[in-house]
Amino acid sequence: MGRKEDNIKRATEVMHILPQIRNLCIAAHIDHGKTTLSDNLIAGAGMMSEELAGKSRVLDFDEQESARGITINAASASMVHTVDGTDYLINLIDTPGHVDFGGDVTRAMRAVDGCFILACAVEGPMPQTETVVRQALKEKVKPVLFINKVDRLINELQVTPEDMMERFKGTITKVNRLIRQFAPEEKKKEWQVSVADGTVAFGSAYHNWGITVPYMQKSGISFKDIFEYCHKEEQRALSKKAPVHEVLLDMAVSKLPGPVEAQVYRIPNIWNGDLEGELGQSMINCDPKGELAMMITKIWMDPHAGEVAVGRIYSGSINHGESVWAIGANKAERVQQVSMMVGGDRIAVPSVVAGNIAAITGIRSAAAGVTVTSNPDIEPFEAIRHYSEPVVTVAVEPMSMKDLPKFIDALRSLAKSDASLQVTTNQETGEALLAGMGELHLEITTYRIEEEQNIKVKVSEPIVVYRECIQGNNKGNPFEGKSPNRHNRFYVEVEKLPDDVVLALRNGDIHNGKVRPKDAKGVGDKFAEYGMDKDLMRKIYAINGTNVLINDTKGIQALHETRELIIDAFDAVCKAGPLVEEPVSGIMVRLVDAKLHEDAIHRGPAQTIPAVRNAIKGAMIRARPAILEPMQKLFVSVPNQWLGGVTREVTQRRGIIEDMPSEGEVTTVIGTVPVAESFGFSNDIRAASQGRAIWNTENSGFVELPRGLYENVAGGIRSRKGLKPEIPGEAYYSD
Amino acid sequence: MILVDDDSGIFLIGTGVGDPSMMPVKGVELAKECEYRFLEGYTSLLGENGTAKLQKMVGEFEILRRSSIENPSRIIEMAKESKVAILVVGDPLQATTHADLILHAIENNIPYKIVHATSVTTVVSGGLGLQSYKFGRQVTIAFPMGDYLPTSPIEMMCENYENGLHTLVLLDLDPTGSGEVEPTPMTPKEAVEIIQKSVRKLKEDPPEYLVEELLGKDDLGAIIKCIKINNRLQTPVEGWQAILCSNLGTENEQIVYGKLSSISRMGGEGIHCLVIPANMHQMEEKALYAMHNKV
Ligand SMILES: Nc1nc2c(ncn2[C@@H]2O[C@H](COP(=O)(O)OP(=O)(O)OP(=O)(O)O)[C@@H](O)[C@H]2O)c(=O)[nH]1
Ligand SMILES: [Mg+2]
Repeated sequence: MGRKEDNIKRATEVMHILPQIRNLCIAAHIDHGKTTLSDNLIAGAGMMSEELAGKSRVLDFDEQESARGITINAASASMVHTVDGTDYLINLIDTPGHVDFGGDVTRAMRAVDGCFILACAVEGPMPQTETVVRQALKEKVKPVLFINKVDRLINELQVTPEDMMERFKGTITKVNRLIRQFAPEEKKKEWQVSVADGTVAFGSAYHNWGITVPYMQKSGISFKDIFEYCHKEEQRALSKKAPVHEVLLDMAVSKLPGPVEAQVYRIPNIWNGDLEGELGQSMINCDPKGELAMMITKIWMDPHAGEVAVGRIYSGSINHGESVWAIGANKAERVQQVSMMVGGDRIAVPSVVAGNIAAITGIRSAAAGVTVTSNPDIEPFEAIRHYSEPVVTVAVEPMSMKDLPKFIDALRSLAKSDASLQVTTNQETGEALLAGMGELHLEITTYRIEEEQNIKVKVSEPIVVYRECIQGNNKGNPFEGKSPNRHNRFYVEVEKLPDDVVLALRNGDIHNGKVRPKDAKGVGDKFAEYGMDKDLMRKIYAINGTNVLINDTKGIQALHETRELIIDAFDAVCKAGPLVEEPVSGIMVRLVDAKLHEDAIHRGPAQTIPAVRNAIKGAMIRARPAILEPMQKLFVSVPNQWLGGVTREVTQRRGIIEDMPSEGEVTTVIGTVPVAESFGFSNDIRAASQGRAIWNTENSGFVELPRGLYENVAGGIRSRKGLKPEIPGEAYYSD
Repeated sequence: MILVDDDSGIFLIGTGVGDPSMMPVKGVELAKECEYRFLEGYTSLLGENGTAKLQKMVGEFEILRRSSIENPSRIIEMAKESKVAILVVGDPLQATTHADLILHAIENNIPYKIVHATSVTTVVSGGLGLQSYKFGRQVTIAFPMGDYLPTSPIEMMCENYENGLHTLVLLDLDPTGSGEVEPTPMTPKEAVEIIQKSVRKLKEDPPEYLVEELLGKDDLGAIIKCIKINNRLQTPVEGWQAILCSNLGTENEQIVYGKLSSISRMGGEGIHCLVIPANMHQMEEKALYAMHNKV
């Protein structure tokens, strides 16, 4: 039996011994070395050749990923690691670092109990580092820290040992500050990472070595030795003495919780059902004999098997051939195959039990975030919240109409597997609008349609997704919206939300969606934490994106039963505002009065929805509307020789340079550029620096479009959407 | 009221409940004189073959759906020059929103005339042997749409009952909710199911004003209402007494009484409404039982 086969056999055995399981993921800023590390862990565990590890990036098994050298999907792999003669099963998920794929990180966090946060020793914690730490803590996933690329610190930057220690301290302090800020109250202390505890490791994923204090004690290697090995270019020898997989998997086993330990506090965080009930107890105890409760965290298309759903089993077991429900579907479906993931391979097994991560096929109704169970009446898991604001759209259509059914099918699975992607289709023309997190996100998506589904498509130039907002407010001057039968009237005032509230909504710190009456008090109090009027916010009806809807009326008979309709109208306006039918951002809509027809039949959807929609749109016009454009934060590292070309590229694009820190021969240009000007930046920056610039971007919210561009942009969008050229005024919405 | 002069204006004419033969002579004569005739075709429905019969009586007409009545610019334009008849099944201003059409006429300085006819609201009380004095507010059961399921009709039925008042329950005609398609009236079975569903919603997730502890101690009106509704909801809805009126004013008219559970098993053909009687006066009881059958 080969080592790999032997490993698979042991993995299927350990799967049943719950204290010997660790589910974890690796998360970090882009390019900090997640995939390199994952590969080394897999190789170390005997799942691939050690020579290739770190050089081939097994977990980047998507062709696009290999070509671009970045991770796009969160891929998973299971491996066996032995500590003191005991086998442990490590279910590992690698995640992407590029902000465009942040949704994948959020979903991966739902499947695991612990997480390696990687920080590059040279760059230190970066904006995405903060984001992933927050994502982990929100899901009550325990973090440990790995400071990677230490070899570069020693060999390239030539720092002294003292310098190195200072830098490590800086990184650890920053990470601990984040943990204190975002960890659940009871874990704030317990989850602080420290060198002495062995919850911080250092090393080089690329050169295959790593070290922690406990491992130093075990192996007798000191920091001084490490310095020497690196200096003498003997990292290979070092990797034999302190192989990164040994060190980090030891750390996972001893410092990260197993499912039994973690489910006790994670279940109440992700499941709203009765914890004392049978299922509640089964989940808390991670009982493999209980009712099946599995949360799907990822869907991907396998060229042979079709849609594969990957997820975490919190209770019971999932068995080959069994009938299960994806909650929300109208029928049960048969599990065609159950498997464990090993690198790019799926290994079929008869069943996988609670506490593990499994892949299943045959469940067509499953989508990321869906609960799979044997009893469709159970309370599903909390939705996975990843609030994403698409900033770029492309129109895609199949070259040949005969591909249309296949094309629509492909879009359906893409939408299911990627919550950050918004897909709208026109069933007749076959044209689809894909809205995503950035140019790259959409390029990858269309590539998938073409290559994986083998459909040739036409893709339009990317188009920016703008936002509509208001400059002022119409407080004290409510706008009246009438129903078509004129028997119902709704009175609305709008105003801007404070910036920090918008930010909290954007970060998902306050959950999106309808607010159930019984939750309104809690949600209102949450807004009060941001300095908003508590009594007012307790009257909240709904949150859509960064907008809120408040019912600020008093004692209106039967208004409560039009609640759903008022929310529907609000949602419709949030999706398409009055100016150019772009999404609305950052406003508070207050319903201040309403007059209703006596009979429910004359105030139904066909009456109430248009009335409220007009009231909100009219109020926005009265409050002087504005168009916001998405901005992108840029980080470009470039040797000083080409600095001029790079700054020129940035300023030419209406960009603002905010900072230019330099380290040795390299300067990092930090600035902001409107997304509208960012298309093609990749090529131009390459040309301007002869390919020497390393850069990345992140979306950084929206700012008001310069007045001078307003007419042009609004006119352009309206004509593209086939709307009348002139922007409707108040009169348009008052009758 | 502005009287219609000789050559233009809007005639809002009722055709009565059920068969077109219920239409008043005055209405028939005026409708015949009009250059343009329309039938409002979304708040009610003529009996079997009603459209053909009515056309024989008054001449050809076009059927208007909701959007053309609610946005009546075309009708208004016509009525500036010509006489336009709007035929409405039942009494034109009972349980409709057509007062708005009259307002549009007035805003545009267009003369109008209303011709009343029988309405379900009056036919029902007499036809059942019930006294019109003893009816509370009427309600309509609407088809639910997604999460939208109004419960106020149930609340009103409960309040009326506790106040000793009968409730006339009209049934929705349009599952699409758009008012733009040929009406498909709700069947007794559907109506009972929707009532059950609404009651379940009220019980499982009661609005604040139905939870006594949440009401202000001195808000007596609200407290009384709350107690009354909850009191009525103690009786399982399947056991509520009801009267089912099917195809009123037509050859196929049928009236039966019994528990809602039995009513839900009645055939679905045609157009229906329900009455939920409260405590009946002796005379009412006698008349109802003598005139109609129990199911
Ligand atoms: N010198 C050095 N280079 C490293 C180390 N770890 C990773 N790299 C290099 O850094 C680059 C990025 O590594 P990846 O493993 O693809 O990084 P990632 O975090 O998975 O990137 P994304 O998935 O795109 O976010 C590659 O060129 C690696 O070879 C290290 O310890 N030392
Ligand atoms: Mg990667």
